[in-house]
Amino acid sequence: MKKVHVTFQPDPAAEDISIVFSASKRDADVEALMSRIADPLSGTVTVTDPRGALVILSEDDIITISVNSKKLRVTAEDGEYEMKTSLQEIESALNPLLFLRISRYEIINLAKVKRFDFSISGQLRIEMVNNTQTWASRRYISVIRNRLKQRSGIL
Amino acid sequence: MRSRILRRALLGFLVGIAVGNLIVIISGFVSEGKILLFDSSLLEKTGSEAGAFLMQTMLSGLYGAIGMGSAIVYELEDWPLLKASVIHYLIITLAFYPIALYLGWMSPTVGDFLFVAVMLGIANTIIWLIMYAVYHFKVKELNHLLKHEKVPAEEETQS
Repeated sequence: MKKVHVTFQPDPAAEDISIVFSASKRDADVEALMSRIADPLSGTVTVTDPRGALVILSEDDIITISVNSKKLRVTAEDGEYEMKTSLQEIESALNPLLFLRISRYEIINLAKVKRFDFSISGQLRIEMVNNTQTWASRRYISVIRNRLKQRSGIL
Repeated sequence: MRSRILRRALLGFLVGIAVGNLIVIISGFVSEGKILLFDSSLLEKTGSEAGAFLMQTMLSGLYGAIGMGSAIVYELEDWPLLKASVIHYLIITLAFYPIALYLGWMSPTVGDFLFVAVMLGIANTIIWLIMYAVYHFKVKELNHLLKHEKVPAEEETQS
């Protein structure tokens, strides 16, 4: 993913907000950003709370999404929710800079990772901000490194 | 994957031959300059000195091929490192026994079996420690990136 520079140009005469995307070509990265801006619900996920009520969660509040029987368990800052969709479907809808699939059963929010460890058994232990932990194979070390570098704007 | 295993095995075959002969040379210096090219029992099995030395060379190569070929398990990154180490250890130990017994490198005694198991265990542990250190530093880099990550989009204001 290319680096994104956000610039604000004040225009006292403007009544509405105009957003202009500038790039060498209209590629997949540009399309993804344009659709996120255009869709007011982008960056959110619709889930069900324990009482069965629909809740719109911001992606920023999600810690992990994991498979739980035939549903998804969405662990957020303020509790757990459910979703009736597949992990693959939700993965394609989430911000790829924030979320990373670490196994067949789980997606994590990289912004909610507290710490990484390498266990004696040789697996990657991931401690999340809510003090829960999850595991990933060694394979994901390089994947996570590249994603964190992208987030930092190094790549 | 198959071609990678074959390439490793081929390289291991050559390394095995080299190491096998190196051990013969070193043992010659250790035993006051007298070279023992092969165990006498091998001469009886093969019928000639050339045959005995060839057999030892080939089986050394075979062991090297098995050792390096099976090390591919460390590249299976979906496997925990400990699992890869244990599997590799079992392969190189179980492969060593019949080769070593045939070549006369060890006797079929409990003591020799245990000695071999311990020596190969030590070698495997060293490999595990090196691999663990490599991954430990990679994970340390992850934490460093985590600590110092900036916002993906840089914000600027133009007036």
